[in-house]
Amino acid sequence: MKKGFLFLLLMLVAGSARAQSISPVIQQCSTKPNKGCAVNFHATNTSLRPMWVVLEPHSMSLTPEKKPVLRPLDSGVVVALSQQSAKLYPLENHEFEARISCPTVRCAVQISVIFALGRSADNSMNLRLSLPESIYSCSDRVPHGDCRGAMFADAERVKTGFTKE
Amino acid sequence: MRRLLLLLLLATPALPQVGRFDAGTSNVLGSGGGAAVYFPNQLWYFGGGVDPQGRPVISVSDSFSNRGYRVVLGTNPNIGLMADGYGLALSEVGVSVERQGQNSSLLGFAGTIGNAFGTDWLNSTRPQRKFGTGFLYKKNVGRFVLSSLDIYDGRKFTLGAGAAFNGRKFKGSASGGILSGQRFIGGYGTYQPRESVSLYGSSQEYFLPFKATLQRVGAGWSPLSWLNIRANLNDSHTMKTTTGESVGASTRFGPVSIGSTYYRSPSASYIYHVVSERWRRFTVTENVTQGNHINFGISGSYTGNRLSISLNRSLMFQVNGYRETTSISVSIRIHSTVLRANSITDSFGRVIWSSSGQTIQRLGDAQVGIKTAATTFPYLIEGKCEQTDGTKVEGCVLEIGPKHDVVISDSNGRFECRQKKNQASAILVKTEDFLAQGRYMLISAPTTAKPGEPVVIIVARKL
Repeated sequence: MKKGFLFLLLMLVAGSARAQSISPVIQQCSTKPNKGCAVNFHATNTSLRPMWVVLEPHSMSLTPEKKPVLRPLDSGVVVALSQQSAKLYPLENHEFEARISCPTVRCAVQISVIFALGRSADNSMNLRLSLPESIYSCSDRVPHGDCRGAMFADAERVKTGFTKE
Repeated sequence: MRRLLLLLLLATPALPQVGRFDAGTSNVLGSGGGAAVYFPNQLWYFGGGVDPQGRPVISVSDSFSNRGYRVVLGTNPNIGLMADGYGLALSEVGVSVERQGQNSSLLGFAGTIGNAFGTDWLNSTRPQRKFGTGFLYKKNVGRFVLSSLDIYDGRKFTLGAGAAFNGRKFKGSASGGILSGQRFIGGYGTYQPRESVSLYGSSQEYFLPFKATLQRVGAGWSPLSWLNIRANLNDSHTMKTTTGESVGASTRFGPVSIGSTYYRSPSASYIYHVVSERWRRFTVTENVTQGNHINFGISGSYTGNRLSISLNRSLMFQVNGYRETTSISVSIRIHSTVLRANSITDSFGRVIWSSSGQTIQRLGDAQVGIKTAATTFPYLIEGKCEQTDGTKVEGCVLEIGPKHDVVISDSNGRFECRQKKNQASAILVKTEDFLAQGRYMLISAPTTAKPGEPVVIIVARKL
């Protein structure tokens, strides 16, 4: 009886490692053609010092090996951020909103969420941590709204030689 | 030497920045609280309460860092071989000095050493009676972190070694050795050869209040984007050995997920069916448990910025096999204060509960806060920050508008700020706060900015 109690206890107090974080890291949004969609994500400063956060959106495509390739935003792709930068106080969980509009049937955007400690002295290093927030947007005709799966399938078709739809 | 230690102990640090205050109680973890005061390079910690056996515990420490050295006077809870929650957790009360290099660190300590005792509200130890001394050495070799722990307490040796690896497809750690004459070994590993396949395993030993070992291996496979198959093997060793196996599959159609899992252990076997619907921040789950008799259950959760509450029914592996458990969790966040309450009830009606609170308070010029949900306002003020020769400056800091919204330029020197109204806003360039390397002075900048009229800020780097 006592041993069972111990295991319940372990489940109750089990902790997890802490680090600067964003969540969720991958999002999908399906929308009608020529209409944008909005996604929300959180950036958390788990440290006990204030930190700065700067968001940088990029267009993203996948190589045939399904590796992401980043480039400046394609023409016609619009990413409207609720805030492009923010100061996160100790332990703050900050919500950002990104409204994405694509001129094509499907597109992917990666927002680099850059955490910076700020400068404490003139000769100090400015350390930065960049976490990627990937957003896959597609037409609402894609089955189950699986925009990411559709882009991966596109990459697979290119690899195997099939022509793109 | 005594004078040096006294000097270090009584050294008055700079103004404190942040204070963290914790308190909590539980029907099996004891009660207590602690306060941590953070200075730029120093941390004071005071904690106290009663341990699970009702004995008083006190934890006091003063740790400070300077020029690559970190000195801790009092309780140091980090002298074991821990990686991602697995390994040997030891704590020491005395003096410890750590030398932090680029790829290695060496920690030397002297004092009474015991197993670490940590809860949400108190980090402490139950020191052994013998005085001991030892070293903990860590070295980074490529993607490996290698560790070595050596302690001598005048009667027995504690020797241990550990290795942790963090790769693209594999992540894990292992440690083992002898703890005061008792052998210990543990670790975990996860391997994901493809995106649709994951394998994992873990083994952990616990020494208080008696020795117990919990081992687990499992695999997950998603042959289709909407289908997930998983299997687990569990094994626990205390006075007796208990094993358990489970295999299940789940699928998802939009906001609805459906799954069934077969659980088997020597004491009982179950088939557990679950249907879960998610709508915005609400999740509702219905489950049917087929065992000796059929049980129906319903649970749910709400997850918000300020309030999270969940009632969850599940099957958990315990020392006597799989058991139905009910857990309740409530978390309330009010500004920088978090209140939590958790409980787990097993099928015999035994309840383990705990409640705790934590608050972070500004003590110096630091600020603490929690923001509300994001809103994308329609009017965009944008611009760029560059040097006189046209070089883009990353990390320019500006305040815009009556609310002094702080904006920072990105790697292209670009910044933007969204406003509720289509009107001009004041701009203040804060060169003294720039995140960019070096010191800057302002050459030119407008005093106001309007949506639709890009702003150019020219700065020059001071030599």
